Parts: sequence; C-alpha cells; structure tokens
Amino acid sequence: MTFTSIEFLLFLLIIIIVYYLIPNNTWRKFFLVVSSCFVYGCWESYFLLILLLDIGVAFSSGLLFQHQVRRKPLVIVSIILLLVPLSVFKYMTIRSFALPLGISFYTFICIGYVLDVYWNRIKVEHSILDFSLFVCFFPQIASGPIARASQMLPQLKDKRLLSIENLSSGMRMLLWGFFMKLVISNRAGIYVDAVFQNYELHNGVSLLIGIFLYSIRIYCDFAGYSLIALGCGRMMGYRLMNNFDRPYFSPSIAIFWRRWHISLYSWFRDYVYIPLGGSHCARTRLFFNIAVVFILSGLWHGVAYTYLLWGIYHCILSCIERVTSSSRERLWASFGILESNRIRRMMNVIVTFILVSFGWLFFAMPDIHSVLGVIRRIVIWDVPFLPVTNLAYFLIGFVVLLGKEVLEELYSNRDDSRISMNPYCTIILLVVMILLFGAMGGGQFIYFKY
Amino acid sequence: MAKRKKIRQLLQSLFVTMVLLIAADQILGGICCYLYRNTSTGEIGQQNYCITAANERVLILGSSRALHHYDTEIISDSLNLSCLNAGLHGQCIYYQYALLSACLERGYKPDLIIMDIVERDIEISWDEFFNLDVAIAQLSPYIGSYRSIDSLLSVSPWQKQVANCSLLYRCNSKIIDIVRDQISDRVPDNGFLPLSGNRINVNISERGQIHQSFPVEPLKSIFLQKLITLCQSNKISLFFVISPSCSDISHDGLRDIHRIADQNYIPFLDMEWAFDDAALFYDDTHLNKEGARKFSQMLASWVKRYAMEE
Repeated sequence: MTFTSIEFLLFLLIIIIVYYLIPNNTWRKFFLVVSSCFVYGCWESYFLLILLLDIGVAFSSGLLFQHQVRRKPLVIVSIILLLVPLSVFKYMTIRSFALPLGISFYTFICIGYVLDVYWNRIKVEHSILDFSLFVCFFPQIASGPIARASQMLPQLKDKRLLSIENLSSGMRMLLWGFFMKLVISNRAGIYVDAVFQNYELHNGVSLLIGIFLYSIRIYCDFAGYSLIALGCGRMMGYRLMNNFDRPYFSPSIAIFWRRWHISLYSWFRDYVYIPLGGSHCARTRLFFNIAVVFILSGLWHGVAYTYLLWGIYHCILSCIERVTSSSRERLWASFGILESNRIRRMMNVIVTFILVSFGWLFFAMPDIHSVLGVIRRIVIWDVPFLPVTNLAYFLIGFVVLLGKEVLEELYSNRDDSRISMNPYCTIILLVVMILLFGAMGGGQFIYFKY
Repeated sequence: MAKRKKIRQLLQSLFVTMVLLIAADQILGGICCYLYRNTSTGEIGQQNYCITAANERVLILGSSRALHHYDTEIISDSLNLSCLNAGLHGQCIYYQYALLSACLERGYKPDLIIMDIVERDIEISWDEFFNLDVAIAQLSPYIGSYRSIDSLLSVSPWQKQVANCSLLYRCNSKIIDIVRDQISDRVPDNGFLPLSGNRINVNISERGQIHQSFPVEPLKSIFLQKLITLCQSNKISLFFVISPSCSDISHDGLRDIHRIADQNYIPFLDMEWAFDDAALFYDDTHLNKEGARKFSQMLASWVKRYAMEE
C-alpha cells in the first residue's frame, strides 16, 4: 500500500472515523496500535516481528533502568540488541529477506528513548500501549519523522478532541504532501530517470537539468512524505515533529543541516554530536565530531559506499565552511556588505543549493564510476533533452511550491495572516492541481528504502 | 451544548468542503473533458475524428509503428479503398479493441482492418506503455459516452474505477495536450505520420541475437480474441501484420499471436526482417518515410493478392 494510493486514503478515512467514535482514550490507542501493526504487517509479516522485538527491548530496558544499579552495561546491551536487526538486515543483506520497512527510523526512535531514560531526560514509560504507539504509529513508521519520547509520549496521555482546526490543517498538510510527491517529485523523477539511467547518451546541459531536478525531486519526495505523516497525525490530534524547514533557502551548509531531515539530524546532534563534545572543544576534536556525525549519517542511509562518500563530502563542506567563516566575513566586510544584506544572503543560498545539489549525485548514481561519468560529461554542452509536456507540468507545480515557500520564508516571522489563504480555497486548488497535473504512477517514496 | 455546536460546525465544514470539491470536479473536469472530446486538430483531433466521424473503408490499428509505417495514400490507391491510420504511440490491444468497438457502436463499420502486431500486444508490458492503464487514460474523457470504453474500465482494478469517477482525474496530464492540439494546425487527415531522417543506432546485421521475452498477459489474449470475434461477427476482414523492424521482436509473444491467428483463420503477414537496408529506418523500431513507402507498397500488393486468391 503506497501512501499516495486510494487504498491508503480509504484506510485513513476509516481509521479517523473509528478513532473519534471510540470514547475511551486507552481503546483509541489500542485501536491505533492494531491499525499500525496491520499497515506494517501488510508489507511483510516478518517485518512486524522485528518491530515488536525492538519495542520489547526498548520498553523493558526503560523499566529495568529503574531497578538496575549498573545502568551503563544495561544501556550498552540495549543499544546493541536494538542495532542487531538493523545491522543484520541492512548491512549484511540476508538473501531472500527484504529490508524491513522503516527499520532505520524505528531503531533510532527506540535508541533515542533508551538514551533519554538513561540520561534521565525523561521519565520511564510504564504503559506498553503508549510506548508501542509512540514507536509504531502508522504515519511515521515507514520514513519518519523520528519521533522523540519527550515530544510524543505526553501527547498520548490525554484524549485528543475532534476539532475543525486539526482536521483542516491536517488535511492541508496531507494535500501539500500529495502535491509535492505526485505533481513535483514524480514529474521530476521522469526526467531524472531518463537522463541518469543513460547518462552516457546525454550532454552537460541535460545532466545539469537532471542534477537540479534530482535535488527538487528528493526534497519534494521526502518532505512530501513527511507532510503526509504530519497531516495524518494532526487529523488525529497529534503533532509530529516537523522534518523540513525550507532547507533549500539555507545560506550555509550548517544551516541546511538544521533544516533538512530535522528529526534525523537533531537526533545525531543530541545523541552523538553533543555527547562527543559538540562544538565547544578544540578545532581538531570539533572536526572529528563533525566527521563522526556525517559518516554515521551516510551509513544510516545504506551500506553502499556512495552514501559514505556523500557523508564525507558533507563533512568536508562543513569543515571548510567553519575554517573559512572568519575570512569570508572579512571579505564581505571589505566590500561593506553586512550579513543582513539581501544580495549576500541570496548568493549564499544559491551557492549552498549548488553544493548540496552536487552532493545528491552520490545518492542518485549507483557507483562512483557513474558519478565521475556524469561529472566528465557536464562540460559537453549541446541542445538539452527536453520532454516539453512533462517539464511543463513539473514547472506548474514547482512555481506554485516556490511561491508558497518564498512567501513563508519572507513572512515566517511576521503576521501570518498576510500569507494565509482560505482553507477551502487551498484544499480545492490542491485537489484540482493534483488530479490534473499529478503523475499518478510514480511509485514508492525514495526514503522507503532506508 | 458547546460540544454539540462544535460537532455541527464540523459537519457543516465537511459538507461545504465536499460540495465544493464535487462542484469543482464536475465543472472544471467537465470543461476539460468537453474540450478534449471537441478538439478537432492535432493528435487528439485525429483520435476524435476516428471515434466520431471516420467512414474510411480500410482501418489501420496499432501502436506508433502503425502510425509511422502505413502510408495510407499508397494503400488507398493500390486497393482503391479509402484508408485511415488510427495507430497511436504506446497503445496496444486494449486501446485498439475499445477504439474499434466505439466505431462500431457509432455505426461505422470498416470493410478491412489491418492490425500492426507487436509482441507487447500480448506480453506483459515492462514500462508505462502498452498496458490497460495507458489505454484507459487515453480514452477516459469518453467514459459514459461509449459502452465499449466503459467496458474497458470495468476490467481494470477497482482503484482505477474509483479514480475515474472524478472528471478531473479523467483529464489527468491532458491539459497541455488539449491546449497544444487546440492551437495545432494539423487537421484530421488519413492519419499517417511519416518520420524523416535516420537516427538508427543498432547494427542491422546483428538482428536475431537478442531475445528478451516477457510472460503473456492473460487479459491481453482475451482482448485479442475479443477483437477477432468482433471483426468476425461484423464481417470485417482482419489482417495481422508485423511491420519491418531493425531491432528484435520477442518471438515467444508472437508465437501466441500466431497461434490465435491460426485458430481463427486470420491472415498473418510477417515482414519483421523484410528490410536489410538501415537507410530505410528512422530508429531501431520505426521506419522512416522512404521505408514506410516501400513497406506500404509491399503490404498493399500482398493484401490485393490475398483478396484475389480468396
């Protein structure tokens, strides 16, 4: 069941109706856990066993922390136990067994909980029902956001009331997610697949368009999924963690990583980077910490060495950015241009976008040979491959999204009413655009494979 | 009291949203479908002509290979019968059956149908073309107007049937085509679209070495048989033809088509390897204008000879 299918929409509708018809909060949560397990088990039944195993390990570890004097060995054992299924399925590639969907996401949710309890950041959760729902809540199980216990568990304690605001904003999030996936990502994907799968036959201009479109595709695909998850959660009264904050408007690599896949990179920040010493340490140690985070981040995406190279690429960019920050500042100052200058900010945004987009090549191509092949061909300029109809549909969607994000970026700290639109208009416009311009057969979300 | 008021407000909002959505779908989707069905120029205009106005005595059916290979003027002159080429890029047996049924439903009955055969008329499609979805998408603005097109939808998965309740969905990915064809100056003609030039990138002498087959799609076999039955019950002469190709056509799929043709006494002309001259091809699978001219001459004389023998 794909999240953009009619089956999913019908499933969601039934879940929401039944959820609000159940008067008791415990039964509601029980219903959501059963539904989430059903959705998850629909993909492969053995996926469910691994999920339940992880839930069991993390939950019992939390309980044991209360009584155990030697907490350190316990936390190590718990984390190892949680990492075993991930390592076995993801990095050892068992033949005839598919990678359990979302295993990287829920393993990190469980590890985060165990560490939070170990560091006394949160209280131990005593309800297996609440804990199970926190880990396996169906909108976030496949590709996050990676929920935090401190944010999610308190929400599960109270009964969520049916409200127009939640339903309306949830529905709009859901529709924006569909719009980003079906109208933009799938359309961009048609061009990207055509060009990158036969990059030897395409010239530099086509490949540059392909790189640009891949950046838009991966953003709209993943942010689209995250919005669908957030929308589903919101319609049931839960606020899941926001995963994207207009990352392509970031003026630096460091800021980009605060706005891209926020739930993962804040996870790395809180559970890896800060415990290693964060940025309050000697420069060499700082670079080491950055390297650890980005290498782990690359490996989190998969066993392919291209992911590792992608991590190293971003590590190098981040280190260079830190090393050159004061000299770049002096250079700007010599021209009398302050940090608040709009042109300077725009230039920074463009440079960051180009650097990030180039890095996506490691994601898009299957091996380093292909990455180098694309780079070599970029210098060959000729008339590009332009499937006009598909690109026109993409452009319609892209312009709408760009307009929305520019307005949000410009007015995010000001009066929201200046950019808000009537909810009815938003819903109808989005539905009309999805139905008219969407590429419906675009397949599964990219991040479902991680 | 407050709770009841809240629920009433909520139900009102949901009702208004639903009404607005249905209204937008029916009005905007209705306009789009109307524009599609009433486009009289370009590719859509050509299809509309075939469904709503064609009366030629020879009808060519098939995919892009039919569209680019069958020079209707030559066939028409040789057979002394008017001829229409209704080939369409990426379409297979589903589209051809629905198109012919719609023509018959309107009362147009050709005397002779030449169907260009490719293996993907019976094998499972490995890409987004040559399948039921693409046939339904092409004809969906006609849903409700022709029983034959509705029947095509009825064999599709329930999700497709639900989605096609929306008029907007029926016009999915068609707006730009509609606008383009509305301003196109290509008026409906005999349908043949020649390709100029030569972009071939395979060695013609290496033909016959690569065979990649896919399993037979049972529903395609059923529709192939249905098309044959439709022609037989309407006393329409049907010919199956494999037009020249530069690359390989899977022979596993073609064997099944051959078998069905033999069982139903359908004349079958296999000209896959009739041309060895790469200059007659536009690309791996399509003839260019010169190739189409030569092929059409050969085809017309074969049809003529066959008709005389019969």
